[in-house]
Parts: sequence; structure tokens; C-alpha cells
Amino acid sequence: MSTLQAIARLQAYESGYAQPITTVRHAHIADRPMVFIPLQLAGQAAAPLAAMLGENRRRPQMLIVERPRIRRYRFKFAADLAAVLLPYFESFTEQSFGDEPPADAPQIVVPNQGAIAFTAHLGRSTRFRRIGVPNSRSAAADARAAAIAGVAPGVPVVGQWLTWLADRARLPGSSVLLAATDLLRAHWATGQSGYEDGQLAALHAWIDPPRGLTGAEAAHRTADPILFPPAGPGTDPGFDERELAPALEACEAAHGDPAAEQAARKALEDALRSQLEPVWDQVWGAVALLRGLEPAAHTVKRWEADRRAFAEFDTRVRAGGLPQPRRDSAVSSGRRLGQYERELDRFEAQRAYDDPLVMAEYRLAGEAFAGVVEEAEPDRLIGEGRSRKLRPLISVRTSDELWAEPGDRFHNAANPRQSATVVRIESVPGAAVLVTVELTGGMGRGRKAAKGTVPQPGDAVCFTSLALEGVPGAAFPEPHETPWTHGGPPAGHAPTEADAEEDWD
Amino acid sequence: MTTGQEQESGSAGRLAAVRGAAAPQGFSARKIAALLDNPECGRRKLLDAAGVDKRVLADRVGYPSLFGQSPFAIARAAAFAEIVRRDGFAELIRLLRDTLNFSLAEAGVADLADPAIAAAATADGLSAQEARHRETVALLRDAALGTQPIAVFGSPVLALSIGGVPAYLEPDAIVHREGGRFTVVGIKAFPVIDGQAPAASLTAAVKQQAVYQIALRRNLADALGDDADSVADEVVLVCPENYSNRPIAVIHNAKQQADAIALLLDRLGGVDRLVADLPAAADFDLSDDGAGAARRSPGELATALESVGARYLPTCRANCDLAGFCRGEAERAGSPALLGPDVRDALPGIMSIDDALTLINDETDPSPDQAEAVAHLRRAARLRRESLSRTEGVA
Repeated sequence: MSTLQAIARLQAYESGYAQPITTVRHAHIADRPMVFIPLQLAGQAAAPLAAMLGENRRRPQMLIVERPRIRRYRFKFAADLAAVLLPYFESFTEQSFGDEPPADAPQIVVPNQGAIAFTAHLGRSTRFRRIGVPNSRSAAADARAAAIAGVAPGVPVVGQWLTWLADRARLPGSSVLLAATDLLRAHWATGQSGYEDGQLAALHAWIDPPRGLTGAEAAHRTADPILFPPAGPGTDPGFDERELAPALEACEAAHGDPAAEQAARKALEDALRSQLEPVWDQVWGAVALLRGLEPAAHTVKRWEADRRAFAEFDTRVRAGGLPQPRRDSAVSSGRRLGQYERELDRFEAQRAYDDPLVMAEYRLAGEAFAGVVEEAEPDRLIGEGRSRKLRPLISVRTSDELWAEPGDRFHNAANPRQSATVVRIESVPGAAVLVTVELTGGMGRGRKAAKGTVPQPGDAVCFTSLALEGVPGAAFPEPHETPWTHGGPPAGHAPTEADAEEDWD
Repeated sequence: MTTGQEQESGSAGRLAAVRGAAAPQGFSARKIAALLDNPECGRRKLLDAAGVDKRVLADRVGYPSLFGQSPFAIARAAAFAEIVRRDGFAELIRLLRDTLNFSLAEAGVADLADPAIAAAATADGLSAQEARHRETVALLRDAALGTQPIAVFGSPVLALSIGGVPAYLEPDAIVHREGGRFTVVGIKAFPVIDGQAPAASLTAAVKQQAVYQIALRRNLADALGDDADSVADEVVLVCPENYSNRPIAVIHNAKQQADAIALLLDRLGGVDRLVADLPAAADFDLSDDGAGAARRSPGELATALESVGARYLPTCRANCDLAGFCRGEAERAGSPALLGPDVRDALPGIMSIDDALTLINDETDPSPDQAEAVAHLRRAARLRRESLSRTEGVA
């Protein structure tokens, strides 16, 4: 965490309310996001217990697994989830025409990183399943496939989608699967520790306390797990012991007696709703808080990339593409890592260009300076004859601590295509320096700079060494040219019957 | 060695007095590993060494611990361990032979949880753990000398001195390869999915096995003379594979963790000094006087706690029952630790949040050793103010 964020935390502590650490919103908030809150049975990586989800804050849908240790009920949960998610995804593909990206894309908002990990687990444990439709090479395999009871057609498809979402959530700047805690933390600093910010209830309380309470007071109240259940996917151990265990036992005992089954199921549903409802409100609360912020300029571009990626994957799923492999091959994981690194650099640069409060971090580190133009020579030309070029000079007075020397290149934060080469740095009275830079580019095509492209005396300007477009990454070989040092060309990946029939217990 | 033991029993006696009449809580490898997460916390060190039940203590001083383990997680872990253990560790032996290519002697399984061992030894005036430890060491020695071919030691009991206090530890199993080395085995219920275990669980499990590894090395060295080579640097973890109940064995080198823990354990001494520094009237007696009245009031207990320095970290809330009390104390003191280690590190030499704020707001002058840090903080505060007001002006 930066010193600037440490200052914001101190101020939050002093005031009792969370403090902004950005001036704009750096994530896209879709018009029709879907909130998804999964719960899992403690002790197992991918045992779904319940979920609350939906596009409408006033009408949450609830899925529950009344016998979570039994495989068939897990598949039923996956099928129920598919029945909600797949129509939601489809509603966006209908808007897609030709090469244009679809007008909008799905956006899933979950409470925290744990829910993202659980989404990945759910995807992994369902995407290889084969539905009971005879379509394989042998009659025996068909018979086995048909014997896989309860795998509805949507299950492997939703598995591929969940995997796609969880994979894409790791891409910096993507907004298709967002964790509410990450969203809030990226925009506000609280007066508690980063560790405690991981609890959605406390974090949300600092930012948006109920009337009559300070953020600090409201956050203090959230320590009670009965009033403020954890945001999942793990449930509160006390709840497990007092309520969940007896409710699940009742469901087991009632099995076979329809009337008793219904009553036990209702009791379980009520218990789980008590855990999910407060979280539902907090996640929607987070969405509303974020929506209230002005979007940063580059969010539009990043969301366009998300829309394109969605359309691409949708085409692949519709064409009956293979599920994502269990593990990436050497080349594809190399590519993926390279992509993450490039996107991270790009995302960080975009954030700084979009937001003076983020740029302030670079100014503090000596990688940017801001100040007021004292002198300008807007029409300065250098060279002779045909090679005469427009190279205006401006001198900027700044009190930022700058780590630079003549010849270093900076970029104009307000006009990223304009670069500025340091000509000289002079000390001036008042703990400041006067930086003279020569401008190149971003001024139109003529011998005279286009109007407004050269800062004038009195203008506030900011220059940074951070480039908006990073250096392109090294090229990777085609998969069939993978060198032997990396295992040679990967064997083609095709899911097997063993994958389809993997245990889930 | 006799003087060392006398010293141990001497400090153990004083620690027992600190604990009072309540039953002691044993040390576990998990506790030791957690202790090492925050080795500078004297409060935790003293209470763990004395065997004070921190959970009950936290409750009594008005900050009930919110920890708990779900009954589902406990049941799942027990069911999985049973799969690995049943039929004389048949599943474990199969995994070690087939997937890790261990060569193991035929039919050599010793179950040190066998109640007969403890029962036979209580006659000699030993506690059940002491008896099981004695039997464990005898069998390990036989296996090492080759007099008795034992391949798997189930639930052995090892001894380890923690800051001068003896503790008994119970690994899940130890295996001995034919003509070769001892390897510590842990049975864990977190899954290994497509060859990968969740990082946090894996780290904790390896740390825990590293504690056993150290105890095993020291016990063998005591029994056989210096022979540290007889314990493998690798540990074996047995976990469910993917989303099933089927066990899978993975091998993990724990040398780095073991070296780090051994170093910390050697430096963990100082419990003696903590006891000596405790005011005469202070103790953590959680027992009642026999008539239902507590021997120590909550106020007395809190005062005793405050007399031992703690080092509060927000992450204590994930691994210490007393975290609530220490947080309360940090709150009253306005300690920068409340805002996390990142903020605390940004405020070197500044002891409270209020001091930090007055320094940053130019209301007080920094001391010479604070000057550089405060100048940086003031620059950051100025940049923050400037950037926020600029956008307010636009809006």
C-alpha cells in the first residue's frame, strides 16, 4: 500500500468515515449486473449448499441443496444454476451483429475473492460432465453416459461459462466477474486494517453506515456473526452447529415422505436465507455506491474488450467447443502470463491518466510532476528546409520531487500522444524547480501547433514517465513448435470419459 | 543434560503457578506454527507456554473468541483420515509404494494410539502421553537400528521443548523406508485439484509437518546420538484428490520451513524472563474456588494480561483467541497497528495514530529521527489534498 493510501486510512480513522482514494470509478458497472452469492458446505472445496442470485434487487432467487453430500443433489444445483445463468448470458448474444461487439455483456458481482474461487471450483467440477445423450463412439460408453443420473443439458455448458468468468476475473481491468470487496477497496480507504476490509459487512459499513451511526460505529457492530453473517462462501461455524446441522439432519430424516420433505426443505431454506439476505443487500449496496461514481475515461475501452471476449467465447460454446483443459500447456500458460502482465501495466497506466489522485502516487514516487507553465515558446521550429519540425518549449514550475535529468522522456497526462523531453532543470525560490521540456507530437500535422495543444503560461499541467501503451510482449511459438525444454508440442487435449464421470463427493 | 532438565522443570513449575489450578492446555504443532506467525508476541508466548486456555480467558475478560470450526469440516476431516488409516494404514502404504515408489518393509505397522500402551504405562506413574512417547522412541530406535522392521508408525508422540517448556506433539504418521530414512506424513482434508493444493492450506500444513520433523530429528538424536540425516527433508501430505474422497499422496520439501522454525524455536527462549517480569500478584487462574465462584475476577485477569506486552496484528484475528482483547487494547491506545502493518510501516517511530495526524498536519514538529519520514508523509498529504480539491473544483 502506498503512503497516500496510508494517509487516507489515517483520515478515515480520524473522521470515522471511509475516505475516497480515487476521484473516478475504475471498473465498469453494467446496466444489468447479476449478483451471485454462493454458499458451500464447510470442509469441502466444491460442495454447493445454497446460492442467492438475480438481476433484480427486490426479487432474489434462491437455490438450495437439501442433501449436499449426495452427488445427484449437487448436479441438481448445477442444473438450477444453469437455468438462471444461461438465459441471462443468452439475452446478450441476441444483440450481437457481425464483427461488432455485442452492445452489452453479462456482469456477475459476487461478495469476495472466495466466491470467485468457488465459481472456478464449480466450473471445474461441472464442465467435463457429459449429459445422458447417446452420442459417443461405443454402445457401452453410451450406456454409461446414460447412467450418469441427473446431469441436465445445461450443466457442462454452465461449467464452461463459470470457468470462463473465473479465468477472466484474473485479467486486470476486466469487469465480467467482480468481487464487491475488491470494488470497494479499490475506491475507498477505511479506518481499519486491510485484513479486516476482507469482510464485506465491515467494509461496507465504513463506507455507507446506516443513518445515525458513523462508519466506525457501524463497522464495530458487524463483529456479531448472528446479525452480520459472513459473506460466504463459507458459513459461520456457529450457524453450522446451531442451525444448519439440525436442518440438514431433518432433511435426511424426512427423505421419502413428501410432506415432511417439504417442511424440512422450507426450514432449511429459511435458515439459509437468514445468512444470505444481509449479504445480498451489501453486494447491491456496493453496486449502488460504485454506480454513483463518475466512470473513468478508459473503462469504456476495457468494457469493449470484455464484450468482445464474451462474444468470442459464446461463439465457441455454441459451436460445441471442448471444455477448457484441466491445466494449460506450456505455451498457453506462457501466453496467458504475458497477457496478464501487459494488461496489468496497461490498467495501472490508464488508472493514473484517468485519475489525478492515482497520478499523485506517481508524483510522490518521482515518476510524474505537476505544476504551472511559466513560459512557453509554442511556435519553435528546429532543423532546416524540409526537415524543419515543430518542437515547442515550455517551462513548468513544480514543487514535486522529481527524479529526472536532461534527455528523459515524459508524456503529457492530458494529451497522451504528446511526449516531452527534459531540456533542463533549474532550482527556483520556494522549494520548487523549473523544468523545461521540448514537446513532440500530439499537436496536429501543420507547422503551427493546433489550437490548445501546447500548454500556455498559467496552465496547470502534469507530465509522467509512465507510458499509456506498453511495449508489446515477446512472441510465443505456435503450440506445435513448443521447444523440448517446455515439454515439446502438447498432446491434443480431449476430455475423457474418466473426466466426465469423475467423482464429486 | 540434567541441568537443562532441572531448569525446564523449574520454569515449568513457575508456569504452572501462572496457570493456577485450571487444567493445562497442551501444545500442538498447529499452535507452535501459529506462534511463529507472530514470534514477537510475548503475551501469546507466555500463555501458550503456561498452558492457559486462551479461549476461556478471552471469554472471561469480555472479548469472547469468535473462532470455531464447523462440525461439517470436523466430520469431513475425520472421515477422510479414517479412509487413510483403516486396515492398518493399507491405503497409505499403497500410495507410498505405488505413487511415491517408497520401498517399505512388509507388514510393519505400529499403532501408537493403541489404548493398551497408555494403560500399561500409567502403572509406572507416567501420563498417557509420556507413555506413548516412551514407546514411540523405543520403536523408532528399533526401526533405525534394523532390529524390528516397522514401516508405518501411526499417531506417534514426539517431545519438543518450546521456549524451555516440554510439549508433546502427535503427527498423523511417520514412515520408515527400508534401509533408509524416516518421513513425516500428514493427513489433510483439503483437496489437491489437478495437481494443485490451495496455497494457504498447503503452507500451513507444510509448516505443521516441519514442526514434527524438528521434533523427530531431536528425539532420534537423543535416542541414537547425532544422526540428523536419518530424517528426510521431504514431508508427505495425503489429501483428497480433486472433488472425490480418494486419497492422493504429494511430497513436499519442508527444509526451508524446518530451518526457519528451528531457528525461531531456539530464539523463542525468554519465557523465563516473561514469567520473572510478571508482577507478583498477577496470574491467569481460570479455576473456581470449589463453591462456584471464580478465583480471579475479570478485572484481575485483564490487569494481568496488560502486564505482559503483546504485539497486535490484524491477522491475529485469524489465529488467536485473544485477538479481540488485544485489538481493544490497541484501540484504546490509538495504535497504528490497528490500521495494519502497511500503515504502521509507513509511520516509523510514531507510536500513535493521533501523533501521526498532528505531525502530518504540521501541528507538531518531528524529532530528528522522524524528520525524513514525516517530510514524506507531509508531501503525500499535500498531494492528496491538492488532487482531491482539483476535482472538487471541476465538479
